[in-house]
Amino acid sequence: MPMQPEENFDPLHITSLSRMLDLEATSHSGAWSPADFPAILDHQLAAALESELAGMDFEVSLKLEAWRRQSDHRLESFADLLTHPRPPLELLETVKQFAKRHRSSQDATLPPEIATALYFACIAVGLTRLGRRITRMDDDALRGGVRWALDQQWIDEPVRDVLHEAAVLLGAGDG
Amino acid sequence: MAENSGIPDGRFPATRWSLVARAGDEDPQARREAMETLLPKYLSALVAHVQYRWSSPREQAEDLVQGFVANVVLEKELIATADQQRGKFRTLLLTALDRFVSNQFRGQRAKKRCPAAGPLRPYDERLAVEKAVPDPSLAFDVEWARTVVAEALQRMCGECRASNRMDVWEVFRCRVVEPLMEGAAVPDYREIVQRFGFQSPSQASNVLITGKRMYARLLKGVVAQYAGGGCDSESEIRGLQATLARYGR
Repeated sequence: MPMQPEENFDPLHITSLSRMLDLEATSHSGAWSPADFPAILDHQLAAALESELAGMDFEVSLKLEAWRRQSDHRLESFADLLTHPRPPLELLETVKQFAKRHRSSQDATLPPEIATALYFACIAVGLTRLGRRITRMDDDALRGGVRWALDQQWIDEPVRDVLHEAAVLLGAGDG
Repeated sequence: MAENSGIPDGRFPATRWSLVARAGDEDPQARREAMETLLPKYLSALVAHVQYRWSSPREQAEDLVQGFVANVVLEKELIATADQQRGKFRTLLLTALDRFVSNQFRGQRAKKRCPAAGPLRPYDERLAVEKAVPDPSLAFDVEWARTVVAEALQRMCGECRASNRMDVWEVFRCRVVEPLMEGAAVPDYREIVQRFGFQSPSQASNVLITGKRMYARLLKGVVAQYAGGGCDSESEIRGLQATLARYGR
């Protein structure tokens, strides 16, 4: 693609080249922008538990099969788990660990904000549907996390609903 | 498709000191072979420099660079005076080139005053005035950057094709290359997922991140290949990027 001199020295062109040489901008960080978060969360909620959790638990297929047999409700996706009236505790904890790994790992493929929302959503489901606390966080830390999640405008139902229920349970008001 | 040993369009103006050293060799055979390898890599950037700094039409700039290569680089053995310790080879080349072009224009002006001395080529006095540029070597650096980026992208496309991972290339191209290089709209996450059929954010992110890492690795590889064995390719890239960033907007 031969370029003419005037094209070569257009400041916009120089900026383009400069950005293509910016190793930070073209590297791992910032793969997606905050504007993408609603779509990413929707996509994560629709994703299949089995394939997503395969790296966390090699027996997940067998376990899911057993849990499905015991349940009248669908248990295929993350959304199914978060809306389940009596989700399997072990599966909830596995998904929480999945989210935790994505919050802290440098090789994580989920934006940390999405992972954090999923993390607190799992804890909220444990509290509200099972009456179980699947975290060692104290109430203040937990309230803070739930409030943070409720402050994120890109978090919609069903995650927002369960966070709101947990906030009420924790005495964190309307969030 | 240029692969590891390829140089697209015969261009690459980074300093490869091993070649410079051989081009200054006392053995004429070794010198000629090194020159044949080294010079084509710089020609495009040298022509761009003359075009921009001296407001020269393309054809005239090519003539001037050819004259410079024949009269200064080859005849006066400019490369034999290059010294890695004294700085960048391209600085030496550009200084000598500007001196040569200036002398050429001065000579043309003298001939114009004395037509009997020989045939005159059309010449515009305006062209002899050095253009006020923020950095005299900017033209060279821009051409160099363009070549480096183009080669890294070519290698990436080739590597993706060879490994049957064109999804990596396509996602990187539409999410990074086209918006940055062509001003195209950045496709959002939803568009990318629909277009490529990703099943989860992890899958989509994996592909995009793999592409970004591959490009960064290949970009460093391109620079390292030509800038010499002891070269810190990251520093070279950051230095060039900083230079361009100062003049971009």
